[in-house]
Amino acid sequence: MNADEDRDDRNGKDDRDVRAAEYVLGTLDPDERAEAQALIDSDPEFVALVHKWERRLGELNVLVAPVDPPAETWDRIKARVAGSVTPAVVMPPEPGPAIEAPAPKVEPVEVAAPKVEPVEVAVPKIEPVEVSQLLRPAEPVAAPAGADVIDLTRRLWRWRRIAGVTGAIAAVLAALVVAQDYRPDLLPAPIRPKPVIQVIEKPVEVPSPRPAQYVAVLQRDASSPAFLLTFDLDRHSLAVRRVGAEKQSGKSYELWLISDKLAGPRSLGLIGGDEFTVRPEPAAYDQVTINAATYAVSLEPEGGSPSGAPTGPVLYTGKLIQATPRGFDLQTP
Amino acid sequence: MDLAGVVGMLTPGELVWLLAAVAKGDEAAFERLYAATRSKLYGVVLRILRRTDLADEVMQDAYLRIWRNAGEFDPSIATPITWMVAIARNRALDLVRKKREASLEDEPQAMEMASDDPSPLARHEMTEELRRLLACLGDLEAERRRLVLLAYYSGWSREQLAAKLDTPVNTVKTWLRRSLIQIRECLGS
Repeated sequence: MNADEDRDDRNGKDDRDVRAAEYVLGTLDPDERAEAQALIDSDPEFVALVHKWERRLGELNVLVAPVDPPAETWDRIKARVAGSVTPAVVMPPEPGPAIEAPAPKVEPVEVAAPKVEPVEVAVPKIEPVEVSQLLRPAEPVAAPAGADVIDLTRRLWRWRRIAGVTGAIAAVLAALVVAQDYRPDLLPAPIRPKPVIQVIEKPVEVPSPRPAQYVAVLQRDASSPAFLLTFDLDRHSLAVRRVGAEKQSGKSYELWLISDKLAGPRSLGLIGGDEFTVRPEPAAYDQVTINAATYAVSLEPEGGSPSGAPTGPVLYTGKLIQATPRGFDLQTP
Repeated sequence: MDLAGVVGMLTPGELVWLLAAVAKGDEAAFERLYAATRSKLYGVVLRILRRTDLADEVMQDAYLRIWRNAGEFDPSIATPITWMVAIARNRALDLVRKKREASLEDEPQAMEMASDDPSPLARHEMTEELRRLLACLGDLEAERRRLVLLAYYSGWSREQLAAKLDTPVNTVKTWLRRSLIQIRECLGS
């Protein structure tokens, strides 16, 4: 270790890189900081180092508890923006309706995450024991904005490719990792992520009367059903039950929604290793799309498709059928 | 599928879209962008500055900069929120370094606010990147990890870190350096 560190210390490249890192971290003293800023203005290579560190360390912001600024802050920003040179005047021809539409509760497009209410939002319940179960309480969710949302999702598709792919399973794993391996003392008290990790005592509540349930059998051929997919419209969740599919080590099954209204397959998330995987219903899609879509399961690298589109073989497909009449009480998927 | 790696916000894809609209001078998009990100950025800068007046100043500077430079945002380099947080953090760090230690002790009301954390942590999802970073931080010795986290979250200078850990400044400098190199090697990128 010491030999390594000595070698590191002799490495001139590291000097620059550490300077970039400390600039990002904020530990340079005022003079060094000014020097670093001069480099940023003049040296694209140094800028690239800084960007890399912003990316490496920037993820830590996720754990910072949000605080709502006073309303006057926005007034002042608005005033200063109005007084500044506008970069351009052109509006995109069709602003994305769902973004524009019913504030303040904007349902995130792809994976149903809780609503935009920065300070006091419901914390998603993450069951730390069974990794495959990412349950969401049956809280009232604004009805998807129908066709508007589809339009938005189409618009967002090209952005989504670059926006990074992160699975809900990864989130649960991360919660596990933090909860179990890193103990709360990892983080300074004010930013401990503790409130995010909650044990679910019981499954999602089943309100009644229940709307119809829709089921798809995902299979390669008629004799080999692999997964059962159930949309629970009341609980705003979908459940996948593993029937015949084998566990694949080092690989993940990923569920996709394919609709002729959408530019490409949309991931509905990974299917966990257990018999049941329950996920929030994708709020981005309206009922018509959900009902008419084809569902497919592909085999992806562990953690899911790196690109946001299926990369592995599509193993199973199926379409939804109405499985129960409205009001029929079905306890399990 | 991208879980927002951000709190109570839109997904990264939506934020990218908003930034693209802001780059074209769309004020409505800018307002939505502000609504979706303000509490995260304010939380970050308030933790560093510990004074609401300074945090307000930094928020103005940061969002003005975001407004002007939205066109420079490159989704292949950063996610929208890390880009915006970096801008705000840098403004906060500039200010806090300029004021040196002064800002820390002269405002008891602000200290209270920083330590007292009544609001629940807003919802967030951990990204794969964060998971890996936390794993790498977990490999650091406890004191060094603390240094890195205190520097990142609280914006502490080497002097403040040295005082906190009762260690010479040069030791802090060496530890930071080695920790950062170790994090880089651990992340492998």
